[in-house]
Formats: sequence, C-alpha cells, structure tokens
Amino acid sequence: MAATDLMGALRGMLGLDVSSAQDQNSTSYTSDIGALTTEGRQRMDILGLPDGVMLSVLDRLNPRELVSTCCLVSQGLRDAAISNDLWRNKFVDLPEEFRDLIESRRLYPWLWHALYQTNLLSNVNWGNIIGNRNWLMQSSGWRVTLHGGHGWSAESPPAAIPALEVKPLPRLDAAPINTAGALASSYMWCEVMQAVDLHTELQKRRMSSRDADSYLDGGAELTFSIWYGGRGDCRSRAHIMVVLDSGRDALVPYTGRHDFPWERTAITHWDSGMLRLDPQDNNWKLATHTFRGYPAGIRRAIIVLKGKDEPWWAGHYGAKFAAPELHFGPCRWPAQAAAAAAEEGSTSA
Amino acid sequence: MRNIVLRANDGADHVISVAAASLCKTVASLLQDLEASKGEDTDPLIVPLPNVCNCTLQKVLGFCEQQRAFDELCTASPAAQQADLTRQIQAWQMEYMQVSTDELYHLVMAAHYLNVPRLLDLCTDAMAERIRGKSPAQVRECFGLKPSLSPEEEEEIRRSNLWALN
Repeated sequence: MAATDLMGALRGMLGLDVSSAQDQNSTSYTSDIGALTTEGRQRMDILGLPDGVMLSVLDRLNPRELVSTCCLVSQGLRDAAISNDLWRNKFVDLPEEFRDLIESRRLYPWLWHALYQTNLLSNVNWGNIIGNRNWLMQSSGWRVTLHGGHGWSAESPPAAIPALEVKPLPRLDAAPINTAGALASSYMWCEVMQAVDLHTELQKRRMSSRDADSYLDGGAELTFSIWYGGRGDCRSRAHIMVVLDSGRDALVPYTGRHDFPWERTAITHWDSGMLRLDPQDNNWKLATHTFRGYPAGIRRAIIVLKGKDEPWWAGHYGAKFAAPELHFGPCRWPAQAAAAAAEEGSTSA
Repeated sequence: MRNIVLRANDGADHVISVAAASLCKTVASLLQDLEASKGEDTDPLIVPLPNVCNCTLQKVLGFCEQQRAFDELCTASPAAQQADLTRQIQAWQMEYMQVSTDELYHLVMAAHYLNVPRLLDLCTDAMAERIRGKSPAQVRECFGLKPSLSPEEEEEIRRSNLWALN
C-alpha cells in the first residue's frame, strides 16, 4: 500500500514535471512568437543595443541623471550607466595609479561627485550664522581680517536684493543646503578670507598622498565661483581675490590694515579687480575663475573677499556675497560665466 | 548613374541613388570594394539586408535622400542663407524624430547596421531625450523593461548614491 502510494506520488511528480516542462516549452514558444511584431521584426530591447550606441546615448545624459535614474531602472542599464568606459572621459589628469583603483571599484560616479560637485570651502551658507555674534572666533573656516564701519552682517534672506535662486554647493558628505544666505559689508572696507588645504581635501576624496600630489601637479582644473550683488538703494564695491600657493608657510598673522601680502607666496592668482555695483542693476552676478595649466607645486588656495559701500552710509549698505564655491573641474554655471567673462573683457578694453 | 537596390528582410526592394547611398557607410564601402575588383558596372546592385524590416528601411532611406537634398542646397546657397537653412534642417529633423520608442529602437539598430553616422547621432540624441528628466519607473515603462532589481538591491543603490538623489 505504502509502495503504490509512493509510486503514485512519484508518477504524480513525474507527471507534474512533464506538464511543467510542457508549460515551459509552450511559454517559450509563444514568447518567441510574441517577439516578432506584425511587421516581422524583433521586440525592442534597449539593453540589446550595440555597446558603442549605448555609450553614446548615455554619454548625452547628465552624470547626476545617470546615477539617480538609470541605476534604478534595471540591472543591465545600471551596469551600463556606471561602466568605466562611459565615465573615464569625464575626468582629466587623474593619476594613473589612482585611475586603476577607481576602475577596479567602479567608483567613477562617486569621484565625479566628490571632485566636481562638492565644495572645498567650508561654511558657505552665511545665512546660518545670524544671531551668532562670535562666529568669527569659531573655527568656521572663515577669518575676518577687516571689520570696517559697522562690520560684516549675515543676512538670510539677503536685504534689498532679490533672493539668490542658487543652492550653495555643500561639502563632501554634508547635507544639501537649500537657501543661500549672504554676507553684507559696511561703509568701510570689510574683508573675510579662507584658506583651503587642497592636498588634505583630495585625501578626503580617497586619493593617497602621492596621488594627490600628482593630481595637483598635473594642473587639474580648479574653479572658484561666487555670487555678488549690491542693494537697490546704494552704490557699492566688491573685490575678490584667489591665491594659489605651496601652503608651506603658515598663513601670515594678517590683520587687513595693509593689502593682503599674497605676492610673497603666490604661485598664481586671480584678481577680480574693483567691481562697481550700480543700484540700477539690483541683482546677483557671478564672479568666477577657472585655474588651468598652472605650474606644479600648488597645495593651498586662499580666498579673499572685500566689500564696502560708496556713500559711507551707516549700517550694512555695502556689497554682498553669497554661495561661494571652490571645486575641481569647470564652472557649474557656464552661461553666467561666459556673460561675466564678456563683461570683464569689455570693461578692460 | 548606377542604381542601388536595398532589399529589406521581407523582400521589398528600394531603389536609391549612389549619392544618397553614400551616406550609408556600409553600402558605400561595399560599392567601393566592388568597383575596385570589377571596375565600373551599370547593372543595379542588389544589397540584401536581413536585419532591417521594410518600414524601418523606408524611414532610413527617407533620411538619406532628404539629407542629400539639404547638402546640395547648403553648397548651392550663399552664406547669408545658411542660418535659415540650418533652422530648416533642424525643423525637419525634429519632425522626423516624432516616432514611437519602438520605431526609434529599430531605427537606431538599422542606422548602426548600415552605419549612417548622422542618423545615428540624431537617434542617440532622441534616445537620451527619452530618458532625460524621467523617474526610473517612467523609463522602464517607456522602454518596456521589467524591474529586475529586488527591493533590497534598490535600497542599496539608493544608499550608495545618496549624493545624486537630493
């Protein structure tokens, strides 16, 4: 009895097996038919595109979209979207050994973000220091060297100028910042500066000390951008300077009574010249500079921002700054950068 | 002038001029090889294309003929009209690319097989345009893909790519 039951069960299993095999056959058969549409062509399969074509399709998408959208669509598209072949060309002058490391771990998307989309400066949203009178004394990265007139004033939202519709670039691994606060100057020169150790920042981006050296010595593109603007009721002036040096000297104990002694150590620098702000043109403008092909040996960047008003009014009627950013790679605002360059050209000519 | 016959996979024949065919690098190189080995020939050359269906082939040939016509116009017209002509070409290409995703896919495959660089450029642009600004689910729907990531995998990807998602 037990034996026949067993046989029956076996037969049942076999029968089940056979019928399931048939099922598989028939489904694969129908799916074969389904693959041919009425016009006698194969079913669309975007992953079946030739590699070269797939690459050129994905290459037209913004890196952020590749990661935020394509990666989540399907396994196949994800592999294509983070493939080394696709990303390799988005980088210039990466040290060879570092490149190998990145390729083996498929870290290109992350590195793109870390180098080109994170801020090397710290505390870039001045709006969040309101009510904290001692912000200058804290290790906020910024150092006030001139507190002329009534001194710097943090504003959020910025007063007597439209809000700046720009998200300040956050630091690596920091939460995004959604509103841009401003720093407004007073009736005598106000000045604030920040020094950035580029070598350390690169090491935070997973480069070894040697890789960081060769990356910097290779003259990697380094961009500084900042938005500046004046009030609608007062003329003002702004002055921006970026100095790149070897970082070997400690930053001089500089109080701002004289011009910043950048010539002493600078390997290269950018000086915006005196920027005059007209009340008629009451909106934010971009000042930006991309360092390219600079000599070897640069390890530190020093940013110096100066502002004041023209008619010596009590209060904070001087030029304002917002959303400063220092990062590798080209400027994030190509259109505004081109406009700024054109304006600079016309005033110097 | 020699005529070229392109035969689609269902046997339909399409006659095109050498000038238009020269945009298809695959056909052009075939033609060159033949001429090098056999010399000038006036018989029509039949090229069977087992990978390309009739309606896609028609679409590709439409592109070749039209581009050829635009090229002739470009060389003939003075520099002052070039901008106007470029606008005209762009408008035509916009119109041309109004196809379903399925058709677009076959167009890309055909353009790749026949090696028509300009059409391939146009198609990859259109393809990228269909991914741009969409959510993963919308992209899946657009290209008829089935979700192949498990929720855990998806969560893992989201976590490692947090920077791109906010």
